[in-house]
Order: sequence, then structure tokens, then C-alpha cells
Amino acid sequence: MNRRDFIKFSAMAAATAMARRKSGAAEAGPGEASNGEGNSPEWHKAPCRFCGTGCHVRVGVQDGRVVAIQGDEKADVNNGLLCVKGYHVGMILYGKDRLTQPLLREGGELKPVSWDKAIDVIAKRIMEDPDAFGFYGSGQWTIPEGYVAQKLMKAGLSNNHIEPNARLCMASAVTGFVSTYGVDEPAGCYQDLDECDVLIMWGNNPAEMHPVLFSRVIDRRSRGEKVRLIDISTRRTRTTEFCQDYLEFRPQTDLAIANGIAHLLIQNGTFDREFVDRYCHFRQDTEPDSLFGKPMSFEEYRQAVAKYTPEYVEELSGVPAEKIRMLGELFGRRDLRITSLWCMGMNQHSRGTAINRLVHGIHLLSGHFGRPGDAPTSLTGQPSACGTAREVGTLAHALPGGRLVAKEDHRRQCEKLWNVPEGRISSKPGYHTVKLWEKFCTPTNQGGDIRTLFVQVTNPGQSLPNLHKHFRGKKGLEDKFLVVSEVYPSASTELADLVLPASLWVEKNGIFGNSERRTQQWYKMVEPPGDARDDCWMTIAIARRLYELGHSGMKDRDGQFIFAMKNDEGEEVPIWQWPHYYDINVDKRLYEEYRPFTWMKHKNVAPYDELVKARGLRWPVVETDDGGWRETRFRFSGFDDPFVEEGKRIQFYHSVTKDDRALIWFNPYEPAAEEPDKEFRYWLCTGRVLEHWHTGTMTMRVPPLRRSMPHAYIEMHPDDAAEEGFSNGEVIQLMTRRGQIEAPVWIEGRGRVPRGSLFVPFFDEHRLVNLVTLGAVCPISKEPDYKKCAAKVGKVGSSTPAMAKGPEVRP
Amino acid sequence: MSVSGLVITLSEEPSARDRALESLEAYPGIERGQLSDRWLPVVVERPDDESGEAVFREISLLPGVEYVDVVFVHFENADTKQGALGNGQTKGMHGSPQVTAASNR
Repeated sequence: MNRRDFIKFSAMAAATAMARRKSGAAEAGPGEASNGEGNSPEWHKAPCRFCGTGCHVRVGVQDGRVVAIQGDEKADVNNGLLCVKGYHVGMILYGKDRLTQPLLREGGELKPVSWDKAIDVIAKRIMEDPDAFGFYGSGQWTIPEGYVAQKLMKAGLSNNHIEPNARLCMASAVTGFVSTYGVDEPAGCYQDLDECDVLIMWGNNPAEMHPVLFSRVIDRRSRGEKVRLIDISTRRTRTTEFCQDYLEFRPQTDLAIANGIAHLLIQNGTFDREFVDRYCHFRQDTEPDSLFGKPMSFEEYRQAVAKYTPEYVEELSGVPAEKIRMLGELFGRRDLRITSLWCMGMNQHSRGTAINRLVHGIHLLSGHFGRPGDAPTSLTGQPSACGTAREVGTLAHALPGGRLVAKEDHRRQCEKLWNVPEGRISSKPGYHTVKLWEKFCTPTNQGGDIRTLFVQVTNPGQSLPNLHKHFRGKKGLEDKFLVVSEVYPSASTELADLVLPASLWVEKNGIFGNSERRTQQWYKMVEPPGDARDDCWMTIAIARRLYELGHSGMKDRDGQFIFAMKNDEGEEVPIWQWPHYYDINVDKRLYEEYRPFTWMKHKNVAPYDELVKARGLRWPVVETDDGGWRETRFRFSGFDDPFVEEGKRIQFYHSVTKDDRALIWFNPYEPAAEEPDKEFRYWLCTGRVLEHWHTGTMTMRVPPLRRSMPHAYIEMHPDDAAEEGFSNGEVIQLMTRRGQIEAPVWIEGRGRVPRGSLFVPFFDEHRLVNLVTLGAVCPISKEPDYKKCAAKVGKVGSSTPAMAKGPEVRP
Repeated sequence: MSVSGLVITLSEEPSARDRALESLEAYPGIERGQLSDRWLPVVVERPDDESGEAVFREISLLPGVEYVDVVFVHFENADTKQGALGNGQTKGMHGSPQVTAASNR
């Protein structure tokens, strides 16, 4: 068989196996292309680089290049399927403008420098003023990358100014989980999608953003199963096309809808009294808001939600009262299994914590919790928002394994595990993301006390809200220094003083943790281009240079370098020297160092060697009597969770109230931070599109994806467009009180906004919608609201493109 | 050379399904596998990925085709030579997004 025939044979084998699986055939047959036959690719496993679904791909490598991608049929997550981004993931490595050498800005221009010089520059900036250094990463950090970064900061520099961009996407989910269950992360898993009778999507568009997960539900329908899909949203999306019910609500009033459901459950007597009596307490906010609030009685709760009658909710939200009744009736039925899904729509919300709590609350109140198919589930947008950003302690207030810098016992535990002197970890939380960038963009003599900022694996120059204030404000501030590790030139590297070329995806070892608590490992498969190097190495190299410069924090209690590693012979390996970085498996050593941190909150991750064998394992993973390792699908449920005491159906064993009960919260409807008015008469919502991932730095380098969706647009209702005199495709101005952008208007496009609303995706670096977004944050999670602000539109050249006066955020 | 393995979900309605199968016969460079119920595995071979996309788009729009999943992509010679910078053109916006509609439902 020649090479061409072999490739075609492999493609047909994969397609045939998938067709048989979809048809429900008992034996799907082998769909995997086999390894290394003749002149054919070597196949390896890896999770996809993009979203939080965590699909596994088989990566075909030949002659040192990735040449083919196949959905991994051994993976539970995707069973061989991939989305349009996933099957092009290999191409992200090969854009022609990959960064291949360190670049230092001199005389206004970025000029090549050696790695030695680059590391030296960073280390000396830190040494000058360690407290003025900040580290900014993302949910795209692998677990070892995130772990090593926060260890450098917290255990080395005694500085908590480290944040992941997960603050911009998942922080409200975290505070929702923690304030409800006492511990972060979803209790359910993707199996809920296979077993639910009703799937409710709250401001969520999984058909485009998590298409492989959505296909699990649609495939059930294809097989004749009955699943009712309900889309509760502020605009019609591709998801809406598949739903039996579409409930279009006025932005921000999801709070009222959730309270309306709770009211009906109580009024109709259909709430699950036994579940509530055995497993729940009620809570309300304090003044000012706090993470854990204060207790309230059931009667107080009943009275609080009583005003949210279907008619009142209709008045606030625009959703017909009978649709609110329909939701109330569905939640009141015990014979149905109901799964709620959400992502950015609920999280990027100026009351993000509140809406997260309320949706958990109606599941708890109705007892739709803890059985397969009965789950409130938050999805993540990044591949390791759960596994890294939330779990390894990269948030400014956090330490690994769900610990907090503000808690003395947590700091002592970490200091002991890291073998650093007691008191090394600072008790003061660092700046949250928006504050961190605000401080960096403020002159030092005006209180801008972050002077050097190191960015890895994300693109804040495009993704931060209100970029004029939170990113571009850095321009002209002579004593500020921005370091950006990137794979391609981006909106962030434009302002960088030092650019570091980074390895990407299978150019390095890695471990991600997906939306369903699944930890996934892969090995390096190809070399990075030019002089690009691993982010994890960069952090260790900086730490070592600080050690050499005499920073005492880089030593542990025994005087050893905090990232010292030995080979199997017991000899120290100079992993800070790039030629020696892969002499040992640094990822494995860091991950195994991290594992004991996961035990306190019963989030036990599996040993590295078990991950090597698996397509991911969902924590908690516990050792069985026969020496095997068992993952957990349904947390807090007695039938599956190994940490639930025997005989208990449900046990919230990390409960806030220390009595194994979860909290059902009341939070009132409150208006958005900025709402349309006479001058700015439209709601502006931002978001994503199917073809592009996040800020598009990777997917815009993939020709088929770029061709499919080459640029951003302004989605507009046809009647509004007619009233404004716009034709389809016409480039128009979009203005808010923060600034203006220009983009073509798209009428009757893929999504359909209601009158008075606009939608703009944020993937396009040439049309930066975040120049105009608001930046108002949830008071608890500190996550910005990217979904709501006031805007106006006009013909190009028709308006003054000025930063408007007036209040930015409602006081 | 661009090679893709696709799974085509055909209509539940037999006559529409037959029409789709007949239409697929007419495409050069498409190799059909064995039909499993209403799911048809095919392999598409094209000189480059752009023409592969065109075939994919056309298949997605055939009467009797409900949607198309891609499960295997070989892209060894794909043109990944262009950076993202300088792609500010506006043409084509209304053209190709439906390609992926079919592939991802």
C-alpha cells in the first residue's frame, strides 16, 4: 500500500467506525489509523488545544511535523468526533509569522536578543522591586505551567499579584460553586447530557461554542430519544434552531427568571421538601455583598421570592408569564431529569455570582441534583480553566487545591509542602485581573504600583474590557515594562517591551483539566520553531536567575533552589538550562509535587503515569483495593463519590455550614451597570463564533477557519438597520462611552438579535470590540460583564469618535 | 494533497436519502464507504484544502443530507503560510460560514 492509499484507508476506517457508532451498531470496528506503517504518520494522543470541552485528538506526526488530525474514538468526551476548530488544530503550529526569537524593545523597535539577555532583563526588573512585579496567565496554562508560576510568586517572591485570565471568564462560576457547596467545580459530568430529559441553556450557545458536547444531545434525538431543549437567551443563535422553546429575555433579567422559578416551586408546592430539609440551608447577601452572606429561614426565603410572580417576571424580562410557568412546572416534576448548562452568559455578568447561585438554587430547591441527568453545570471556555487556573492556585487570592492566601492554616500547609520557611507566603491577596491591569496602566506616582508585568499564554491586549483604560494606558509610561510570551504577534505584543517566543501545544509536554474535572496528559511530539521555548522553562529560568542574583525567596528551608530537580540517579539536573530541560520529565515532577495539594478538598488527581495510559481521568481519582485507580463522575452522590459516607444519598462534605448541606441563595434582580438610554440606545453584547477560538491568534492562522469567518461584524436587527439607513455589509461605526470601532453590519446573519441589541464577536484583532466594552465587575467574583453595555451606531464619519464624558459605571 | 474522512448523516426519509446517495455518486474524488443505517462514511481527496472545503460545502447543502461530521483530516500540504495580520478584508463574510453549520450542527 503506498502512502496516499494508506492515508485514505485511515480516513475511511475512522469514518466507518464513526458511522457505525452513530447508527448504534454494537461493534463499531477499529477506526484508528495504525501507527507508523511504512511511510505513514506516527500517531499520538493529546487533548485539543482550544476550548474547555477537552476533546481528545490523535495527532499524526511525520518528519518532525504534525500532518494529520483524527478524533480519538477511545475518548469518552468526544468518541472520535471533533468540531471545525478541532480537526484543524494541527495547523495552528504552522502560521508563517510564528515568533522564533526573543525580542527586546530598544529605541521603540523590537530587536532580537539572546535568551540569556531576556531572562536577565526580567530577573533584574524583579530584583529592583519584587512587590511591583505581576504575573498574568490563563486557563491555557498547562497544570505544570500554572503551578510553577504561582509557586514562583507565592512561595518565592511572597507576592500574590498573579492572575489567570480565567478571572474574565470563570470567576463567577467559582464564587457560585464555593458559596453554594463550599468547594469549586461542577458536581456532574458530560454523562448528564446523555441522560437528561430537559436541557436548559442559560445564555449559552453550545452549538457553536461547545459543538461536540451539543452533538451528544442532538445525536440522541437522531436515535429517536426525546430530549427537550430550552434556550433562555438574549439573542437567537444556532443553538436556538435546535430548541423546542426559546425564551428571549431583556439583558440582566435572568436573575428575575430564576427567582420566578423558585417562587413557582414554592407556590405550587412542587419543590422537593425532603431534599431541602435534609441537604440545604437558605442564604442571602450581606451589605456590602460577601461570598458567604448570612443565613435566612425558609419563610424569609419564601417571602423574598414571592414578588417574582410570572407576571412580574414578564414585566422585567419580557418573557411571557406562561413560559415562566412552563419552567416552574418542569422543575416541579420529579419524573424528569433536568440539566442546566451555562458559560459566559451567566459568568460575564455584573451580578455573575448571584445568577450562578440562583441557578444552583433552583436545582437544589427542586431536587434536580445528584442523579445522572439532573445537574447544574458550568462549562469552561479554555482548555484548563478548571484544571489549572482554578485548581493550582493561580488566582490572586488562592493557593493550590482550593486554599486561600488569607487563611493562616492554608498558608502553613503550603509552606510545609513546599518546604519554605513559615511566613514566606503573604497573607494579602493580590490584585484581581482588572485591578492588576489598572495599576499597571496608572503612572507609578499616581498609585500605579505594578511596574513589571509578565504575560504568558493569553492576549490581554485584545481580551481585557475597556482596553483604553486597562491595556493601552500603558503607552508612554516610561517606567512600566511589559513582557509577553507568545506564539504569534498579537495585540499584546504590540505594546510589549520584551517578547518571548513560546512553544505551543504538542511542541511541549502538557497536562490540562477540562470542564468535567478530567485531567488529561500529553507528551511533546514535535520541536518548537526557531528558538521558541516552553513557558514552564521560562518561569524556572527566571527563578534560577533570581537565585543567582541572591533573591532569598528562591531558596527553600534547606537552602536549595525551590525548583531543584534530580534525575533517577539522585543528581541535580540544571533544568533552567534549556539544553537540559528535557533531560528529565519536568512536567511529571511538578505534577507529582502538586498532587498532595489536591487532597484537602478531596479533589485527588490521578498519578501522572495513570494519566499517560488514559484519555483523561475525572477527579477525585482514588486507588482501589486491587491497586487500580477509579475516577468519579458524580460528586457528592453516594452511588458514585468515594468520599460520601456509606449509606448517604447526598453529602455536601465541604459545606459552608460544616453540616453537609448546600446553600440555596436569594439574590434580587438588579439592573445592569450600564443600560441603554436616549443617546446610547442599544444593548451591546460581545462573544465568540464557532470558527475562532478566543482572540483568534491561533485560529486566524488556519486558512480554512480564516476563510470561513475572516473578520468581526456588528449583528443588528433588520428593522434597526433600516431605521439607521444601513445596508447589509456596510461598514459602520459603533460607539460607547469608552470609544468607537468600525465594522460591517450583518443583518439576518448567523445570530439574530432583537430590536435594540447589537452583537460583536471579539476574535478580530483589527476590530477590537473590547476598546468599547465596559469593565464593570461582579462585586464578589470581580469578573467583568462583557455582555451588557450601552452603545450607539452611525454612518462612518457621521459622529465624533470621542471618549464621551459622563459616568462610566452606575455608582 | 488534502484527505478528509467524513460521516454524512442522511435524511430519515428514504426517498430523500436515495436522492442524496445518487447525488454523491456524481462527485469525483469522493470514495463512499458502507452505509450504516443513515450514516455514510466517505473519504474526500482533493489537491488542496480549499477545494476540499468546497466539496464539503456542496455536500452539506445537498438535498437529503442533514449534516456532515469530519472525523479525519490530513493537511500535510495545507497552506498555513499566511499570518493573521493584514486580513482585514470584508469580502466573503456572507459566503462560507454555512460550511461549518453542517459540520457542527
